[in-house]
Amino acid sequence: MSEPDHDRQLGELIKSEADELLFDDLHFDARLKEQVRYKISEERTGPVSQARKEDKIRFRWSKSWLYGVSAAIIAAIVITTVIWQPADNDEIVAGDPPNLIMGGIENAPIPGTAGWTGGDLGTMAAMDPVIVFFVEEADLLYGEKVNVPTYMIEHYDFREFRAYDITDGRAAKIAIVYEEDLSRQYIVTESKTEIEKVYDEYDMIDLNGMQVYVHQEWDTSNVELRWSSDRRYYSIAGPIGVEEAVKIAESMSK
Amino acid sequence: MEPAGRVEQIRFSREPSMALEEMMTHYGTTVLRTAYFYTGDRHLAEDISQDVFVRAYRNWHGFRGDSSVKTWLTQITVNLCRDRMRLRMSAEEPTDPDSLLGIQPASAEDEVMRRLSRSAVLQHVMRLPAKYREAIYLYYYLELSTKEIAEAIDAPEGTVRGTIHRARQLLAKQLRKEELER
Repeated sequence: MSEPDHDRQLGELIKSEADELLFDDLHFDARLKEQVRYKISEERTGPVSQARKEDKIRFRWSKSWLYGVSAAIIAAIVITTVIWQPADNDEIVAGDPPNLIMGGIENAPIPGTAGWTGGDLGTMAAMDPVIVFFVEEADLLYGEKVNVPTYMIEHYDFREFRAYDITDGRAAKIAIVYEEDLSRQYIVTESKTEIEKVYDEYDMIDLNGMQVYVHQEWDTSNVELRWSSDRRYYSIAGPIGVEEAVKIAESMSK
Repeated sequence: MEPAGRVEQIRFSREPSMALEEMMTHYGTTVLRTAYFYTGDRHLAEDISQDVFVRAYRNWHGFRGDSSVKTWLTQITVNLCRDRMRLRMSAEEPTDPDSLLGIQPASAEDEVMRRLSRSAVLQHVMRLPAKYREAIYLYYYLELSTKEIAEAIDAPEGTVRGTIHRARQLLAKQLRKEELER
């Protein structure tokens, strides 16, 4: 018998004996699958998350009342100005207040023409991130593999990749956004150029031989971690505290 | 020498919830058995196997497919088993680090050992030192290539090849010895 055959036989024997003698009643059954689903849903709707979601709903209701009233006022103004057409646009009826809305619309400079002060359209377009949801798309935009952390903070979920500063189809910066709910996010950024600082002062810590700069606000858990490696710049920012930020940084390795 | 090629034919959805169901269906039992092999504790293995899939679900957005899903899940399983066994060891009396791999002749349940005594080869595998047992399990039972094993246990591929080779030699020696004793 040749060595490959012998080896194959050995493998088959080990498998069959293990299945019969060691693992015969060990199966990942429906009960275990259900427990996995339950654990995942508990993470999403746990006590902390649930309390925050309830706050969000209450806030939404009060906000929607405000939106409703504002929308009604705006609608009234628009309807009034559309329906009511003065005979002569240049004629000002004594006692009428200046129609700022109407005047504003008519006189607004067209974007891109003389008089437009809204900012350079190319720059504005470049500042708007392209949003993708799969790492392969992020890699494609960035032109190389994005350094994705393998550690995620409990109760947070991955939300999206944001690609910034796109020139000739290549992004200079990728941000990975994680959220617990709309008001709590942390962002991990990788960039080919230095990332703009959020704070004025940072402390320096050593993380596995790497110089990492850290700032935590004294009265909140808002933190920013910054470092560079292999000509790439990284930052982690959000209301997550230094300890969690460090865990995320430690989980990032290419 | 590589096991007969087992290229992963399953295509997994990019959508995390669907991918989770697919992973549990295709690899749930494999993950559970791997956890049991490492810990020797059925309840701990069930716990760990669930955590493997929770972790895989949460990190699915970052999985590129550089390795197969099977290798990736094995890597997560091995890491979780090591973490849990380390926690257990630090809580109890310090034991031989070589005994990190769970099912051992000295401590395994009597029933398991009784069963293993009926085996031709497996009982000898389980008597090998931990790193050789691990290599045999990953190579022959999970049918991972040496490259995949290296990824799963975070070791150089050359080291893995050497370990498998040595494990085979030790196993052959044990089997010859048994034959002579009969």
